[in-house]
Amino acid sequence: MKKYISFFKIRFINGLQYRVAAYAGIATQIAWGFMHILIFKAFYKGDPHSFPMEFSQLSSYIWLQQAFLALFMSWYFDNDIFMTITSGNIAYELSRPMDLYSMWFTKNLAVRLSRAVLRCLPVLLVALLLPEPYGIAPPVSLFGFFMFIITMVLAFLCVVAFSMFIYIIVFYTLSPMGVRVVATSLIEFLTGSIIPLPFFPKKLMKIVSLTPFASMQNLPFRIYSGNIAGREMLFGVLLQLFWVIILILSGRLWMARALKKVVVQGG
Amino acid sequence: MKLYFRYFSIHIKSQMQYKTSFFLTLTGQFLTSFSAFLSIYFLMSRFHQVQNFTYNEVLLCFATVLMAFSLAECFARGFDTFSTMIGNGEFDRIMVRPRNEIFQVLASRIDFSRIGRLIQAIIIFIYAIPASRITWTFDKILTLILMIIGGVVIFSGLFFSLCGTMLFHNRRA
Repeated sequence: MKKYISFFKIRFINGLQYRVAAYAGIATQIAWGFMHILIFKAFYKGDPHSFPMEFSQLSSYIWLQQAFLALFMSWYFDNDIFMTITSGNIAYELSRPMDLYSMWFTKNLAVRLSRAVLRCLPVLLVALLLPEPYGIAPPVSLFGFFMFIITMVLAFLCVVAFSMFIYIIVFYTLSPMGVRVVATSLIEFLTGSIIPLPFFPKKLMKIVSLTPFASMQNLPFRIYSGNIAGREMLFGVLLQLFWVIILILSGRLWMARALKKVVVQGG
Repeated sequence: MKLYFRYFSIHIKSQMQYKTSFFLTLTGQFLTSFSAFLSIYFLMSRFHQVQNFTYNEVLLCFATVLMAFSLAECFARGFDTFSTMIGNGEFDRIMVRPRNEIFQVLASRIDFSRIGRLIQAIIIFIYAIPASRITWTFDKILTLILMIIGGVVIFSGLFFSLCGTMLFHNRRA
């Protein structure tokens, strides 16, 4: 366990070095957040009754999404890992006295977390200063906020566990291009990062909310604004826990199988 | 211009070497913008109109932007690799050659897998142009064509200025 923690530390500190990229990211996220809110504002003006959630809840959702983008972004994959697989350097990784799955898992956690830490505060600050329905609202209750933190952690684990599948698939396809594009667009859409899940048609939303995708950013952001509460929230958390365990276990099993037949490229 | 067609045919030939990968990427491109289309569909089927724009009119705008963007990405993405070109010294080789530098960078990459998006834009156009019930006079057709051309020029200009000017100063994107 100790070696993974120190590995995490190295990666985390390494990630904190890219300050200029973070400033650019902050500017983008703030602009993006305004744009999204303006789009939904246009819809809200036309027909406020068809809106599936309150406008202030939507604003909180969008700002949280922008602030913690780095935790849940679907298009981030570690190019180093793809390179190790395709170039054959995987042989070195395998000869280390570490578990490959845990190592890649911690690496992904560290990179995403370090990016989020650099970016989230300024975005949240701007969102807090905005007037009532457009900014981020304070949490509805102390318990809700507590649940928000817990579901954030679980959602984060869920995203990384899911992205591990993509790395494993590359063991078979050897080219990350195709899998990556398909996976990205699928996750992007089904987790509600283009439009929040409540805006989906009812039937589709029921199906999607049972999949692991709904356990990613959808759940914590909606718990924060009070859009999900009570029994629905408890059910959501249990489902989330279930998916995290299933995803990690099946990922480990699959990786063990893939490693049995691994082909080392090059020489 | 003749040189550009040479580059063009070389790019087609080289991308056709990996046919499966090419078609997978093409499908991927199609899917990426398809999720954007689905979002519009879901939103419009819930709200029916946005600021007096109907669903079909929104689709028409979407297809225009999508077409302009995919054309720009297809032909102007050479600037994307500009950072690596400067980094690994490839750009020095380009400056030695007796041809325009911008032209060479531009022609260094033509990405045909963006056709996946282009196809989608065309399909939406085929649906939305009759469905929007616009009476197509000459000036309206001209406007639409100019919208697409203008879009391509703007997006290409953005790729150029972003990747080009910034990189000379930062060397990293």
